[in-house]
Amino acid sequence: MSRVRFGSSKSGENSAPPVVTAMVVHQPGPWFDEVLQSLASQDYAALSHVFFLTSQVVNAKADTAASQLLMKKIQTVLPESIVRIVEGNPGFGALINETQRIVEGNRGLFCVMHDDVLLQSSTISQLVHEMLVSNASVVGPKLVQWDNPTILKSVGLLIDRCGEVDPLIEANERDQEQHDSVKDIFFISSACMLIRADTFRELDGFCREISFFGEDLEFCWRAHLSGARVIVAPSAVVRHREMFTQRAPEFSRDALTARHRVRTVTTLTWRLELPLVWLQMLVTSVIETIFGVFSGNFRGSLANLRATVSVFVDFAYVWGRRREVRKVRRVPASDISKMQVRGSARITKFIRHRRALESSSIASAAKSQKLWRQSSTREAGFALLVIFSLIIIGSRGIILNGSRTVGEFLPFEGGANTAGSLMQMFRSGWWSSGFGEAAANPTGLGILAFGGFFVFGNLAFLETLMIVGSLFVGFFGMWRLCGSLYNTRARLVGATVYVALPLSYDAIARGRFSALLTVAALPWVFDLLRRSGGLQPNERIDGSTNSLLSNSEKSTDVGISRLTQLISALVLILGLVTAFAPAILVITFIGVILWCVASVFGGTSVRSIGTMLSVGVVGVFGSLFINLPWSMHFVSGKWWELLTSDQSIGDRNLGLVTLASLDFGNITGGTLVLASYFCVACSLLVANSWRFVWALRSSFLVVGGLLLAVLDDQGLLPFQMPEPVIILSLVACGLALASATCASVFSETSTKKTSDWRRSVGLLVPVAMSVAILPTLLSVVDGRWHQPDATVSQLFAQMPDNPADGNYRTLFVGDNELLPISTNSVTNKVSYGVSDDGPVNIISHWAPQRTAMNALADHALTALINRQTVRVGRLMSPLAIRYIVVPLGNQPSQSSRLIIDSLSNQIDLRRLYFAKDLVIFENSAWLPIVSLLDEESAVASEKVGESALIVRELRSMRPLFVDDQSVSNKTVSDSFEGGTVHLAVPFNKNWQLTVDSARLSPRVAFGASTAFDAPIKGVAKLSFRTSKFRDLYLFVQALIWFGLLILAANFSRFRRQVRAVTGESVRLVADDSQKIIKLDRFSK
Amino acid sequence: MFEKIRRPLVVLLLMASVGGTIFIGKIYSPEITSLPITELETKFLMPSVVGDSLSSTWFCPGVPARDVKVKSEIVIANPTQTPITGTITLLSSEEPATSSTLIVAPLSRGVFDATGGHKSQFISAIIELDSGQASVEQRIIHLAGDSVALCANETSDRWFFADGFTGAESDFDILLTNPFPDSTVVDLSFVTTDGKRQPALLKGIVLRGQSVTGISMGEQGARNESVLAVSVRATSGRFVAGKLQHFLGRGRLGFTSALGAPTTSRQWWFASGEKGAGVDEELVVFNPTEIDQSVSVAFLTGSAEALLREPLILTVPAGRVTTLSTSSLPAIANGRYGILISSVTGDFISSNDDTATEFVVVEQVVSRTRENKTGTSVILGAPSGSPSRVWTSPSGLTVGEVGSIVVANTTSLDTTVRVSTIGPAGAAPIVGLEKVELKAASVISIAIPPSIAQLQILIESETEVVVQREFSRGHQLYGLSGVLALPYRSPQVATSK
Repeated sequence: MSRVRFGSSKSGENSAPPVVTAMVVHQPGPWFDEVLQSLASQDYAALSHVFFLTSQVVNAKADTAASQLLMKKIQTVLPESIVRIVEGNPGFGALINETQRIVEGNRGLFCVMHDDVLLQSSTISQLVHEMLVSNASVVGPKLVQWDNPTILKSVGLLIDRCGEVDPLIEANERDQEQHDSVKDIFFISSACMLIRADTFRELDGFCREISFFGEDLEFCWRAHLSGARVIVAPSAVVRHREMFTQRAPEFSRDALTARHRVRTVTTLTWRLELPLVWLQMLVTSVIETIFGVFSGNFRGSLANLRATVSVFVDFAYVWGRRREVRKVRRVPASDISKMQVRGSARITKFIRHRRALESSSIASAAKSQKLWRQSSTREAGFALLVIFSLIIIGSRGIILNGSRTVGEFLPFEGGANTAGSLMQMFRSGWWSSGFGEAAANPTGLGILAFGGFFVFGNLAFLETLMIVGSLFVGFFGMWRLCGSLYNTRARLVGATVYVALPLSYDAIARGRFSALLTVAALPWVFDLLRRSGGLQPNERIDGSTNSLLSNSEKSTDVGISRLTQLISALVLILGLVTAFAPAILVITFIGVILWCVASVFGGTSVRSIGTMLSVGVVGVFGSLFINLPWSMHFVSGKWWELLTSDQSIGDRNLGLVTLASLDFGNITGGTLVLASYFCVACSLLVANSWRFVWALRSSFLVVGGLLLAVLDDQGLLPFQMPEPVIILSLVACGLALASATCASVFSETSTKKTSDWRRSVGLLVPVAMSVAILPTLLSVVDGRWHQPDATVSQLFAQMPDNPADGNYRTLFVGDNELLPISTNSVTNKVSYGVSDDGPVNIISHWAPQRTAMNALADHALTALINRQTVRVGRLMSPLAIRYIVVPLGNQPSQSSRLIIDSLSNQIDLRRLYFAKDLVIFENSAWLPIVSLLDEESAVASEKVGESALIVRELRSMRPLFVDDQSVSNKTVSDSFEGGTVHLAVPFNKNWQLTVDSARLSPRVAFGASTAFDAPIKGVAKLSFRTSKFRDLYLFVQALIWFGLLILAANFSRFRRQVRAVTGESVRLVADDSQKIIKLDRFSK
Repeated sequence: MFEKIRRPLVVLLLMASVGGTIFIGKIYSPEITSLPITELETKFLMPSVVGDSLSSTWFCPGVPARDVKVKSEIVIANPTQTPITGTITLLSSEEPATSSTLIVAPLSRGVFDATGGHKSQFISAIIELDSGQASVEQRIIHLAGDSVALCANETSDRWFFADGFTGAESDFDILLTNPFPDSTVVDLSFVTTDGKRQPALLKGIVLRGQSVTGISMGEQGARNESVLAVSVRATSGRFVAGKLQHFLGRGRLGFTSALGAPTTSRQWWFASGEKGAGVDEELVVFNPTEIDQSVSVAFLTGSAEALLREPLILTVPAGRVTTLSTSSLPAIANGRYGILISSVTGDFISSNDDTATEFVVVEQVVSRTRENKTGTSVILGAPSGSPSRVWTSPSGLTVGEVGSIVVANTTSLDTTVRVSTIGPAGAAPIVGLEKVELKAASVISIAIPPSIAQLQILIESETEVVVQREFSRGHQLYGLSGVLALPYRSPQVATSK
């Protein structure tokens, strides 16, 4: 067969068209020398070369040292080549498009190439020949495997209407020249693609919005639309390594491929076909996702589904891009459709694959090609299904019947609570829980009210959702955090270990709502930290020892826009949790410090550490800011106690083993959890390269968290810490991260086989992890994670609801952790809280704590504890406390026993209920929350101090305004004959009693509460005047939250997608010269 | 440089942290430098002056109110510069409770009728005052001998009486006061020489809310018993128990009233032991527990070593009473001495918490005889934790020319004692008693001049002491009445346990 050698022709007319190869080089391996040699050995004379060398970006600056060396190497082999070094790696298409700037004229050809293709010496000439013969605009070679050229990789590609690719060949199909005919094809791989320069310019090159994976399909589709011909010339052969994902693990191939495919289809499909095509994509994706769980392609199929659904948010981009493409549409849609595979390329592939499997040779090859990634995604799919099932089965009791009222798990819809009433309460200027206070209501109330609307007012469902959902939120948070290890199996291990540690389940069992939310949120906090730090893996080798450097983490620059997004997300997450559990701020702060210290030792760049530290601090303060005006509550002399929510409880003496096993006696075999610490030690031992930094971070979290917990447990800290479960959430994060690091290390060593001893240790890691998660597995049987069968709240039924003798309060006193409501501390062992009559509900989760009435209660309880009085009932009568409840738990503490003893000694208390786990006293000297005082009591109310209360009993002539509403929302009116009305709330001048048309001003009673001297008779009505600015504050607060939501969701990125593409996206940082190439010799 | 040392530094840091965590968590036991409030919340076992509290409440054991020959008083001492106001609530066995307000002028004593003019069989008083500095006690003027009884600060769910005596048809009444609005149910059992008995009638006794119930032990099957210990336990609720004893023969004569022991104790202190002609002293040790108790009896004779030197060991069988007649002990010389009775059952060193288990109750019975005239006094000892540096006698030493306070130094340190009276000018030391030397583990009897004996007396010591009062039985009767003074509750007292 004769060949025309254009390059060697002497004639001007027959001179070969000049060809410019354009190659993007990204951190190549040793094989790149062969690539260069293959270019140098081409038999095509009119050949020029343009190289784009990417660079590392370290601390926002391009590190071009490696690229400079590479440039010299290229210019040694190809002295006339043009080399451009660019900042970072802005994308294949974007860089190749730069060729248009470097090469002038349209009379020539561009040969677009990856840096891992090896040409035969005649490849270019064959491609040019076939282009001229076939009058094609785009020609591609036959791609074969780099290592084994007898195995085909691509002979052109087809797609169906949904953009699904049909590769035409089977995996590992041997080349027997069965595909060696020149043919039209829908698209060819950008690994090696010869393109006419004029066509390339007319089409404006590759789509700049497609960085990697999919630029070839989009380009060829547009080429077809413009009338250009795309063919494959199998006589031209190219060997292809195709190992880009290994060299750049930060790019998620599945996600990018899916997104770009969907965008290509939606921008290039004929508009009338588009809705049907999109629907087909959606149905296909959904089915594929379901099957993906079992087929091992869950991750990819999920990416497809997400990409399909996200068309709506991509609408602006699609719309703009379609307008750009419109000018090149010359071919009818029907002609394009003819070039596409009929039906589903997926099914076609599947059938072909089944047929191929019938051939034993191919089957054998396919079996040997059991890719790690595929297997890991299959495992991930199965594991996710199993884990989610176990969580749901383990929570079935809570899901079906709701959580029991234990600890902080208070019913969301107890009493008269509705989403509407919560919102009304939130808007009020009177914080009505506890003794009440004229202050902003907690943001949590607003969030619950808002959430209530989303669940159609079903607050019980919202509660269940928050409890059970927290487990999933924690799982996904850890999944995302472990994404930093770029290994599905590592992510799976990390997330599984995190969700299997008993911390969350202990929080559910003991009703520690704050702890549950903290455990769920903390991985997200760390994930946002690492993203803001731009932490990336980077395997650097020590030249002297030829070993991987341990501190080789790379920090990529995080743009201000991205940083804003991350900070917004962090502020939102922290703000949301802070509204319920302020202690997360303390833990976040400690966690950030530990994280940053570990990063310092890990060699992370100072800039990244600074960024993470700043982001963490901004997150903490930002979350307080978005909780304004409620967070002003923390501006107090006891701000630390309020933040830690621990009420000065210290010296618990739980013991190291209890703390380390993250189990407080609610799970069988909790000590088995100690096995998980093996992973921490193991990760430190075996982690190499950038993974060592992650091992360090996990170790610091574990050791630092545990040390803090132990110090607090022993009462050795000069300040109080949040409850142990919340501190230990740091430890849980560290343990999960360590497990993930181990999994990451071992998955790599098992494939690379670099170290035998690591694999040996690796055998123990799964054993340790299995042992550690065993207690939680066993707990699944219980159905509600060991929540107690009988709870304290069930016994509250003995206390009347809205009794005719007046609304009252119940005082809960005893061990902080046993009290179901927000508490104040009296001593380091004893706390108390109060709630209004009726069922205790979520409103009591928050309560003002520093009012004058709290001071009265403090004095009364101090006198009680110190056994200084036997008239505590009288001391509490202005507080409207009718019942005193002392929960004892399973093992009553010494302090609780002493309180019971002292209460039993009070001669104005009746013992209403006396059981092993709970004691209820009734105060025979109580006053209703709103009452009409008799004359003596009215006189006594003008005095300040306990003496006014001790000597004589206060008497109420009758209660007023009895209903089921809180005192600030009284809707009933009452007629009365005049007298002194006592209101058992802290004094505030905004209280108002209206008798007929007369408005009465309040006065202070008993030095703390409120009274109205009303010498007139008539119909009375009680109200609290809320400032008109309150609604304005709330509106501003809502705007801030909404703004943060917008920023965190980063809707602006969709605007950027439709923005006109400019050359600014590629930034040159160094080049060899200002050389250009002129294409002026091309003729057809 | 930092690159090279980074890894070993990290490993070192982590190992140190792990080591520290394990050390703190497993080995290190921090010393508690400051006691949290709850550590002071242990129960104070005997009536006491509260001190800094803004209020105080006193439950008096009860008086007979039907006998016109018997006069009863409540004595309230106000050592402060401001008037003390309060209420006195009288609970009776037949009538509803009545309350009235009272005022005690500054630096004076108020004496109030303990019956309020009511004629119930028994009446007991609850006194609620707006000062923690006030002290209260009950006094019965009886033809058979005057008696002063302490009033309790707290109720209890159990009360014990080690010495009950119904020999020669002597009267022995238990007064059970329920100050609470709800009923309290109690079980009463008693121990005689024959053993423990619990008649069905004495089981499930309902004490109505705010009432007094009197139980005559002689009428409950315990007639003519020379040994009669009583324990009363509530099955629900709490109450106050006292006793009235009228001795009519068999070596005992006179009248005495006293508050019961609200709990057992490991230790019991007596300031006024005495051996001599015509003095018959017995220590009645009641073991209400289910196990045998061994008690040691040590005598404070002025030598600290004597406390530790082979004390006398007694075994008190479970649920029984053992009586020790000190007069018959040849090792004790004539004269005054203090007595310490300690249970040595169990681990004495580690069992500091006396509230955790039950031990014994000890009363001292002293009968003084001269020329066929006998006067008997019965005193409950001061339990563990009671020794204090400040004691008071609200009613002074009221009657007759014979009146003294006996101070026992319970420590092994020499000390000085100051005795003051609280009069219109405030607290003033008694001339000659500003600094009375008191040797370690010894006792001293201090006579109070009759001219000031009716004022409130304050006894202050540099070390912890136990103070007992002895005064005339009045009515020209022979013998002495005895009762403990009232200690001040203070952190030092509480922590000394």
